[in-house]
Amino acid sequence: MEIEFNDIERDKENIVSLKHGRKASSLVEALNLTTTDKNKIIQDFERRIQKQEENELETQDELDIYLKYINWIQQNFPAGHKDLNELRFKTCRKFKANSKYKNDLRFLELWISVARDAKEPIEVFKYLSINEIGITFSLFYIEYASAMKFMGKYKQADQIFQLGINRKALPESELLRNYIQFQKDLISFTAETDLTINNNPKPAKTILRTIFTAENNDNVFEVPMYQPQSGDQLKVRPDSSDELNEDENVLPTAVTANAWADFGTEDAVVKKKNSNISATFGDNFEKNIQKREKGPKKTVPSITELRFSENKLMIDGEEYCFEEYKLKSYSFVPSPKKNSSVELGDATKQRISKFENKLYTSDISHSNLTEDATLTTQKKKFCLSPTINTKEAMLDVFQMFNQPLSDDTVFGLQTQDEEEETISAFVYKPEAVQSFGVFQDTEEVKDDDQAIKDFVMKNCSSDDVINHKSKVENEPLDTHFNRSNTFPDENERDVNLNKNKANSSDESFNEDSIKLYELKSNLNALNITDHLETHDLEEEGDLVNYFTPKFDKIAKKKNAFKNFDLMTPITEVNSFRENSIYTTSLSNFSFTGNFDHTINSNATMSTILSGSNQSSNSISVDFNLSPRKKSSKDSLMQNENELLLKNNDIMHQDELYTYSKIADAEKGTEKSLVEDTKPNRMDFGDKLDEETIMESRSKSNDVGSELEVDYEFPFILNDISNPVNPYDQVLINKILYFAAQYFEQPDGLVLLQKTRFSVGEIFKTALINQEKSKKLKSGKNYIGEDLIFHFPEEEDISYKFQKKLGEGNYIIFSKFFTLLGGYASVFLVEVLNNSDEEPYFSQNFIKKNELVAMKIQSPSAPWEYYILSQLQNRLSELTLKSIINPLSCHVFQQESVLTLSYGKFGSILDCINKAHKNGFGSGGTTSSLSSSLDEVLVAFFTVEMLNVLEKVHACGIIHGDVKADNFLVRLDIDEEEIWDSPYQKGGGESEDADGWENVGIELIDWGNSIDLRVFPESQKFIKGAIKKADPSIDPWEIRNGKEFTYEIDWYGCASVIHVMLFGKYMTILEEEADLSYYLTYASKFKVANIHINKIADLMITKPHLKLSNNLKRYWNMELWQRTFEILLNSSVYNEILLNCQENGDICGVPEFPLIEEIKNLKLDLEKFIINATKSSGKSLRTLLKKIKSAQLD
Amino acid sequence: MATSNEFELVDPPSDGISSVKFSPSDPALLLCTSWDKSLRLYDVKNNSVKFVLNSKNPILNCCFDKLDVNKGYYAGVSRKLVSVDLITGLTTDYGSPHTQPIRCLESSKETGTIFTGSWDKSVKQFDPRTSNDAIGEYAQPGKIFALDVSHHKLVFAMAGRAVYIYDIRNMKEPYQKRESTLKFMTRTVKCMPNGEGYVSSSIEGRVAVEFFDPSEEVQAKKYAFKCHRQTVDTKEIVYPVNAVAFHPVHGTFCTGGSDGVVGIWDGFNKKRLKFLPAYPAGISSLDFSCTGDILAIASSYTYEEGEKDHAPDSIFIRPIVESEVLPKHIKKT
Repeated sequence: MEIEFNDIERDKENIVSLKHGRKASSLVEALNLTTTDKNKIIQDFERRIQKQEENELETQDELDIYLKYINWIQQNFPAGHKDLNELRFKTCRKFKANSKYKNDLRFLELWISVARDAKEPIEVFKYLSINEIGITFSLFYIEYASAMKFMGKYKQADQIFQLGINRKALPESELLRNYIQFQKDLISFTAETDLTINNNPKPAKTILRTIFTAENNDNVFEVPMYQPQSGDQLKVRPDSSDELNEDENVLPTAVTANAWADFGTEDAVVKKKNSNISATFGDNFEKNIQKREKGPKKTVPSITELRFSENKLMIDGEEYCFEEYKLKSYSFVPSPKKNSSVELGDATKQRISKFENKLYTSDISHSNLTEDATLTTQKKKFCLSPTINTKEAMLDVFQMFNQPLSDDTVFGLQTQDEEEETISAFVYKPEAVQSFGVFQDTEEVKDDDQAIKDFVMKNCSSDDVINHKSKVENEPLDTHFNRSNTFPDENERDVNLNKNKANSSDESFNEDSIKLYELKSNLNALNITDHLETHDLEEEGDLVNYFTPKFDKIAKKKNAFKNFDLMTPITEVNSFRENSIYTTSLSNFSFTGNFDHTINSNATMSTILSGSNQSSNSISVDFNLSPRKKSSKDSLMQNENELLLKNNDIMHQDELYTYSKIADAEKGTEKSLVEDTKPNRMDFGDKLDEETIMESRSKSNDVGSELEVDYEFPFILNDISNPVNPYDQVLINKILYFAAQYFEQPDGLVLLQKTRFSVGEIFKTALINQEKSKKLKSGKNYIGEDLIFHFPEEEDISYKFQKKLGEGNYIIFSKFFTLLGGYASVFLVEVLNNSDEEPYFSQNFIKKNELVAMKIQSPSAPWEYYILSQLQNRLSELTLKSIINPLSCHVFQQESVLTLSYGKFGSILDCINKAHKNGFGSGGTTSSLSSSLDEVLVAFFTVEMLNVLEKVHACGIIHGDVKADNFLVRLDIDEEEIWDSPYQKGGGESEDADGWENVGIELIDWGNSIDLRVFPESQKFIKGAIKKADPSIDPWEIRNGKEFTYEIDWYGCASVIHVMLFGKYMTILEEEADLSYYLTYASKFKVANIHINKIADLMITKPHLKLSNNLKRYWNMELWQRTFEILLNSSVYNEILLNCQENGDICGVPEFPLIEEIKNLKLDLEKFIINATKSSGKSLRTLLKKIKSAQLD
Repeated sequence: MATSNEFELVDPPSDGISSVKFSPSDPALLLCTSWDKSLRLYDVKNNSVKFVLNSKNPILNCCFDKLDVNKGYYAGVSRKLVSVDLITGLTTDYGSPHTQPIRCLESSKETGTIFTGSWDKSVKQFDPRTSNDAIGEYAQPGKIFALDVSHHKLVFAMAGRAVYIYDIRNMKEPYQKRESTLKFMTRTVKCMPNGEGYVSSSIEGRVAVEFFDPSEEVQAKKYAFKCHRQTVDTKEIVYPVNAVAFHPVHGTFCTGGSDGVVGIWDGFNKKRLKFLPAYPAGISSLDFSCTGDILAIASSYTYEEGEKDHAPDSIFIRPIVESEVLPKHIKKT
């Protein structure tokens, strides 16, 4: 159809040009469509999009409708549409992470159109590059290079072209063509002499921020800066001087770039090396020190902000410390006046008179309050709640320094704070202040002025200081200006002030109200009127406040008043800290659960930090990056180890906990841990005062020990159902959220949730390379790069991929992660280099060339790290040897990397598999159970396991996944060290441990662990019954969907012992049992001494469990029977014991009384080991050494 | 986390707290000086103020007389040393005032004399028993910013990053003249209780541990570490370290920065022992009691960023649990 130009002519000026042109027919149509029609169509589009959102419309290609919509708008609103940009952003935003569209040309085109209109198109391209959107298309490179060209960055444009060519972007011919053209242009333009300076446009909010913060910010498009068209005339711009900064990677990679790097935001502060600080001073200075200590070599992050005013410290070559700066600002240098007379504006005068009439009694001679008095008003508040604009104040000060001298009176002005002050004075209770004696300084008043004056004089050039002399220099000061006033007078005065103020009904004590100034020094206020300037209310005058006694008192009172607020020492400190806006620490973890707390869910650290969630916080809330306290000794446990054979008095830590509560109850203090009335309220644990501590101490047998009492877990979740699924991600996130609130962030935790960095990807590549290298049988090595990487922000520690530890034992596929489509795998990594200095003296400093295990989990799972940090905190060093050491945890957007120390001796399961071949199996060579362990060895490992689990439970953690592959073997036997003794019980706590503390086990994989401390005391847990439950690993409670606490760990322990003893996985028989049944067993196996008082009516709901395999007769039957009986049926026995009351009171009965029996079992096992190694000539040492050599092969 | 029985002292000063010092003999007595021109003596056991002494000018520092338990000294913008009887509250001015405010002072246990350091680039020595005037005046190349004396060694830091060490038995000339290993202005120096060296801190979140013995092997032990820094996404925020205090028994020390955090460090094993949760304002001063079981923490804005809103100035008293300050033994691997 022929289109007549006339149809378009009328609107031609209003037509926005589109790169690909417009269809003439559509244009005509568009121009003829009525508004209503258009609106209808718009609505239609919107509806379709909404339907698609709600999945009502079955679409393969979700992007399609958006593109159609955008296109339609472009075509049908030739003059442009205000929402078009928003729509484009929305589309970009919506599909930016969708991998389906990464290689969709339409999507790329959309992005390019967005980039075109952006102020910083290059940033957009960088973003696309990092996220690999559209990078397979030549169009990407062409447009990107265009943008570079436009900015005069020819080198980089060239690089981009080359990159595109190397990557074989399609269509190749197109790319080549453009590249050739580009080069031609370059050549021809360098010949021109037209040089235009390229000024980078000032970055404002960039397009990306716009897109991703969902702001409808049209400002970005005010001036379309970039409209590349092929064939554009390019003016030659000399390469900008900073063309190839380190920062300016042409195609930044995820590793080196921060996806959310600033695109020129206002907040970026660049570190300035303040080299002028080191001023030389005189020739006498000798450099008489040794070689300068090299500072820590840790690379600083790209932006370092120094929290002090650098420019104030160095003025004119002179250095000033903070105190000098402060003093200077307290002193004043008045600005010179042009005329010597002072005028008070009428309004001011009126206000003054009103004020003075109402507030001052005739007693007080406020000569300053007569009409002639000079009263200046200032908005500046002083010190305690200053609203002085720092810059301005300093400007004033410096301005003063530069003013010529004209007058010579020194005077001071003082502000009186506004309402707050007077209010505080109003409620001020004089008595409190008078409770202590006030001593007077006997010095004369004159001198202080002099002191300050002198100071100011010495520090400014003498010309600048104005010395005003007054006529009445020697007139005695009014008593109320006399600093040596005792308080009572002033109280009175101020109280008067307030009384009067209260009387004044609608006095102008609003923001603009007059502040009263008192004039100090030797002058009678009246007489210095000549020398003062007026200022309007609004103006921030040149006068800086002077330090006067009057102000003092107000300030004091202000604080005094504050004290009354925060009186009670112990509890208040906590709440102050908790509630104070100054100390709130913020959640690290994006908490995505449905949570009633007032903090926004989904808030990430930076959004929170930017203040959106704070209440009136103008002070930057700094995040505590401090490590958890590494408790020197969990002394209680230490005692245990030392006093193995007399441990009756040592209490289980949880026991102690209960004890303290009871002690408190006895004292009559009601400290309830659980607040039932208020849901969602955080509770603090019991605070122990000295008395209770002393009581507990006396219970301990060991006199010298320090009981570490660590009951005060700072929060407890109250609103949790009982029982609860402990693996619920919402719950876990909740705990982590509060942990971040109440705990110091551990040193090794690195949170970069906005960074898209994937170690998993790196390792994937590495694995592929490894495969490739295997295939090359020609003997040549695969020439691929060694996979060396480092974490973002951590350039000084680099890691080298070694291998996947995944085969067999180490791959962990946690059940709950698979639901989310995640994975977890472990890799062996070598630490290549690290700076020699320990930057933070972290406890877990990774040494060079050390091997570490990296567990990569996707999505991010910091839970394990949290638990490991808690363990580090709660347990003694000795116990911690049996727990895997967390080195660091990096949390990124999609994954988390947990770096752990590497146990090179493998797991118990590995041992078992190698046992027979290597001579530490049981039964000799002819036994059918060829792959089980020697009984003594089993006993050894059992003792270790019982010990670590006991300690872990004692500090309130349940492991949750106890099995043979989760116990690594520790065989850090130093060949040179003396390790002679057959066996030392106690795991090395005693002094002649002789190296036995270096052997044992290490418990890993804490991803399924539970922190009991965050729950109320009687909390139980439950997991939905799992489909393929395996009795060899899964505890009975888990298999049957019953509630549980500690028992699952003991069950797991039993399964490990079984596999060690038998070389086979455990199989269980369940039998119906009633109480008497258990009691019989209890006595038969000597499980426990049970007093049959009140347990007749106890209902046993769980079946009795026992092994289906029989124990070998040549084993120590009694011991193992007892072991399995206890471990398999721990919950029942526990319940029995709990209900076993002596004399009807429950004093002293702990949560898990069975632990006593387990401890006894441990002791008996140790006795067994000692006997076995003494008599039968079997050497445990030898066996362990054999394991070591076997594992190292 | 054991928050211990930490509490805030009543009636703190109304302006910046310049120093807090415990008595060398009585673990309950704490002197506190402030920009509100007051000197306060607290009884920390009872959380009460024993007296408040008002002066004409801001007081910048104080100390106890190490030989006379009832005597204290203070000095500040008034430029002169003042002694105060802690029982009666009566003050005595000393002569020989400095020409600029006195920034720091410390008394020596060995000689019983008081050293004052001032912005007038001089150090003066006073002997309370002999005369009212200074018994020695020693001009220095720069303004004195920090000073400490212990075991016959007087250490002070000046503008221009110089650190001079004197043997107080021979004040004629410096025992050693050093340049600070920290590249930024020195904020404070503190001598180790064992007399082996000193710790200095700078405004750039760094602390240096140095030793007096000039021999190579001892000097090789010196080091510096970064602290009081926080990383927020890509930014690292660096805070001045305003205060250092040594535990009298264990030799571990704590540092306080403008980030409001107190860190406890084992300087010899180069380990961090603990970080206390942040206090409402930056830490301006720290001191351990003579028995080492109480730590006084002055949480008070130190004006490093000029005039700005800040939390009220307060003093926190923290009973110390031994484990928090015990040195670390290097963990066997």
